[in-house]
Amino acid sequence: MRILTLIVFSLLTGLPTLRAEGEVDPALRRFTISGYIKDATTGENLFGASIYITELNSGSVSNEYGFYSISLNEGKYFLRFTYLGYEAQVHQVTLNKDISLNIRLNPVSTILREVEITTERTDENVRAPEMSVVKMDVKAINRIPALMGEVDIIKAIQLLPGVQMVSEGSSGFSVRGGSPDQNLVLLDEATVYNASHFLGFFSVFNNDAIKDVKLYKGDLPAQYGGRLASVLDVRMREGNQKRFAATGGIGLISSRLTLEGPIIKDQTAFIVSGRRTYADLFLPLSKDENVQESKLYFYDFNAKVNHTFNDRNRIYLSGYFGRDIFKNPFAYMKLGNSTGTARWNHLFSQRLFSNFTFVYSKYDYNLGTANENDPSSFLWTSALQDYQLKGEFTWYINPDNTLRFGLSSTYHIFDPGKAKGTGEESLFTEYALDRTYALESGIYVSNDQNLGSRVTLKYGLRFSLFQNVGPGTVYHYDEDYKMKDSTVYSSGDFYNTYSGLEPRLGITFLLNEASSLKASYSHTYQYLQLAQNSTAGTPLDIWFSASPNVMPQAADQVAAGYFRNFRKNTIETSVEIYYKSMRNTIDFKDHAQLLLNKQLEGEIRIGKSWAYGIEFMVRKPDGRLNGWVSYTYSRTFREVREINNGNAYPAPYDSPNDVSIVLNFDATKRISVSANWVYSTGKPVTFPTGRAVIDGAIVPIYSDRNAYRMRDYHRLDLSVTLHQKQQEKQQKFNWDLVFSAYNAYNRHNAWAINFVQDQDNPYTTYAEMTYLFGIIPAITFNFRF
Amino acid sequence: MKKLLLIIILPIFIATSCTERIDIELEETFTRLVVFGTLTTDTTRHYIELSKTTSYYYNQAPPPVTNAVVEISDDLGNRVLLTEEKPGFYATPTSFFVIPGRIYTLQIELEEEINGHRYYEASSAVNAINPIDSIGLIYQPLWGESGFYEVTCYYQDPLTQDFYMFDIYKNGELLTDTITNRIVVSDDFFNGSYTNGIGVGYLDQSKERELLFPGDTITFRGSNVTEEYYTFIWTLQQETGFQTPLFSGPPANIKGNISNGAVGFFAAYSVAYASAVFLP
Repeated sequence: MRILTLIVFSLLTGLPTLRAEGEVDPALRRFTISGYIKDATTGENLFGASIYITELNSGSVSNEYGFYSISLNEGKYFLRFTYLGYEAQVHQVTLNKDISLNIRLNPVSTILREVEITTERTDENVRAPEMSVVKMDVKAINRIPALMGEVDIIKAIQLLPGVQMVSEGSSGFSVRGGSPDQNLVLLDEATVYNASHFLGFFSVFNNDAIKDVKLYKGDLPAQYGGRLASVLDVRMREGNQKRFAATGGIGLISSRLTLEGPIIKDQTAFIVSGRRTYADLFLPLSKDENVQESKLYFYDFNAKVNHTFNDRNRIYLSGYFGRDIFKNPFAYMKLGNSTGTARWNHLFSQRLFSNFTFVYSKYDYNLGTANENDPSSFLWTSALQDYQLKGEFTWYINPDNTLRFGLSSTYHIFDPGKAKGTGEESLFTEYALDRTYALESGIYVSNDQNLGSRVTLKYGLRFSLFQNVGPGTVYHYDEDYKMKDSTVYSSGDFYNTYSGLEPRLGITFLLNEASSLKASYSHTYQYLQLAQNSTAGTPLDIWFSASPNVMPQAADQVAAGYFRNFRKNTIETSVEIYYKSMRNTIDFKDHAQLLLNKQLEGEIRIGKSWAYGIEFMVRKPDGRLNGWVSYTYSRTFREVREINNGNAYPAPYDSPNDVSIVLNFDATKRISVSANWVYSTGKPVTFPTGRAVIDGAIVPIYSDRNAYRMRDYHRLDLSVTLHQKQQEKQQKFNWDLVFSAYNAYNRHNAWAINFVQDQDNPYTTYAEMTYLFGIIPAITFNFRF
Repeated sequence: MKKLLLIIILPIFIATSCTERIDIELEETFTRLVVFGTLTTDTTRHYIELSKTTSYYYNQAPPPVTNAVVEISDDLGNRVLLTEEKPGFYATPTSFFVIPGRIYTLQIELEEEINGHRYYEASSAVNAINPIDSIGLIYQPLWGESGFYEVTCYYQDPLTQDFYMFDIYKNGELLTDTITNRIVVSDDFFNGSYTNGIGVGYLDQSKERELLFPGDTITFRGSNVTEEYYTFIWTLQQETGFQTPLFSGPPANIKGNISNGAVGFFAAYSVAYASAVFLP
């Protein structure tokens, strides 16, 4: 800890501009202007709105809570406040004392949208001291055609360069070749351990309850830690502070309703949002009796309340609860996440913003027989719980330095699995894996620093600490991974500790008004991972932590990019290259047993991996025609001594060529059309190159790991949205109707390839492909009042 | 347990998915020797089968390996030479049986070398099995199209860690006649306790071969196999079964116990029987 303090101290004192602050000419006094930027119609905070000081040719952006703070020398300034989709505002301020200025921006009205208007566009893409980041607001996501009409954040994320879906219809995604468990998925700061419903066809995020989404693909800010590949930061809406409103939709497979409004006008607001699917209504159509009697649905529920005490104090309480239910005549499975977040925003001064958070998160499932009292009845349960405390501070030192620091600590409780008979005369003895505990902590400091008007540096350091806490049993393994013996630790023992320094560095060099070069480096550690060795995974996959047997995964990533905007910042382009090197990469031995296995750690095989790629993107975020086109070339490899004879092999998510085209066009005043097309090289697979016949069964003899590829994947989705008539728009009740088609040209994309023995001629084998979806049309009715 | 999961989830996927036959060109790997043979405590002729691996789309019976010298010995030095009954099938005398507690070794000398080797070897220990007290038949009307008869078993499991393989005979005919439809379990969920009627076999009443009539005799054979053989069977079943991105790990060659890179398994184990006559 002392080392850390020293580093932090030297970092701070090393800042030339900070030292200079003491030498400021007393005649030129410095004052701070700060406040919140909000949506004028709902009162909700705007995250990432820009503040531009015309005189200084520089500016700042609002933070996650809409707060901004700028310290300037005494004088008169024009401040320009802008945010995509909102009308810009210019305020003249005379700064001779500290000023608090809250801004309410008006959304560009929907009527205006139908003519090509150029709303104020900022040069954020070029100027922001961050790269490998994409922020999407829900409005943009809503326009993307969706599977069965269910608009989905994660499916939208999968269309970004460097991001791939792991399998058809899956909510898992791979960022720059990483595994799905290397993504930190946050919902109002709570870790979501399984972001999928229905085995991944839908994500847990109900778009009506979500405000915005930010994906960090590499250059992870120092306040985030614990994952190697990415952070997906999803924030829930706060609720309308001005008036009561309802939003909802009725679709083919689900309905949703969101209610929001003020409890005390301009001070306290709430939002509640619910969603329930009814896909099981269609199961009776199936020919299989058991499928007919099956139940299969999910629901989820989001709620949030916020209260503003005064300009210095504000609290937010939010929660999520979701459940998936599968049931058939013999058995059932229930699973889901619950999260709760309590946050307190506090301004120590106009220049020191702080946020304190308490988070609870749980993922659990249980699986059992339909009848609980048979001798053969059983129940299998598993859970993972997190309690987290966090403090974050932003110190707006001066326009050239913004210092962030904070600390967090998470207590993890793992219940990897327990199976027991439930009947009175049960046939089964209880089989339980030990509950284990761990403490994961982090402390960080980072600074965004302008060096003159052209260069911005962003540097930070995170110190992470991971401790296994007793009670716990550690198994020891011999060279063949067979269990030798074990050590039992008692309650409260900190029996194993890992720690690491994680430097982050970024530089942005402004070439001119419209273009910049950026580069970044980051070092990260990951202490938790998913025991999953299939590509898409199931909801039963469990998380396990670093331990005396499992070293933390580590990654170094370097990236560089060129960013250029065209036509007054209305078209953004970028090219980024990256190289990522990872140590202690986890893979599993052949035929690993990952569930209900006390010696899970004996199934792990550790190696290294590396990934590189280049990502091109052209994006037009707004206007009558909007969307993006991206192309990525990337490779990812693993090398593990015990797998594939120690030779390197393509990682499961290695897919060299990847194209996404996402377009939305407002064709007429009432009709808008959207399309997206994706193409990617087929995922690597292992195929047989020979066979043996053993006791009547044809047993494959395989090629090297991942030596073959699936057929290339491509798909077109279309949607047409019909808005209500112009004159009706003045009315309170707004609606639209969305017709969509997933996989519009009915491409049969392989989900699985199997080699099967012919029924009639047992010595004949052939390849058989399974695909999940042909063309899937859907219709959804959305309303708002 | 995993089977249960498949019962719940897979029908839903299969209900929405479709399959089609596709052409995939596959390369051909080098030829290996394939060995499969089991020895039990039953006094009977036991077989060791020798063949060769082929390309994946070979589409015929595998080429047998003939004229090999095949010998079985135990750790007390007893030796038996097997005779080639038909091409590739090597048989013990009819009086042959194995004894629990001993270790048996298979030695093969080929006429011509395969994959650079003429000599192959494998060993297996024989664990004892307790007698099976009885079996029962329970009709499960909800399973499948016409219901299933579940064969339930009453047996005292010893305190040791054991692995079992289950076979079902109907009127003397082996229904579990390939390695892919045999059930193998570990005793994790009933170690040391009385298996008060756990399911050990399932007769699908929509299949003619498994359909039961009054008077039919059902015989259950329990085998106490080694962990190695247990793993061989379930990994083989995994590799030959339906693979999906949800459940299946990366395909991998199954690990046998024959030396010098040969494929297959040589197993020796104790068996116990129990029978019941079907009276509805």
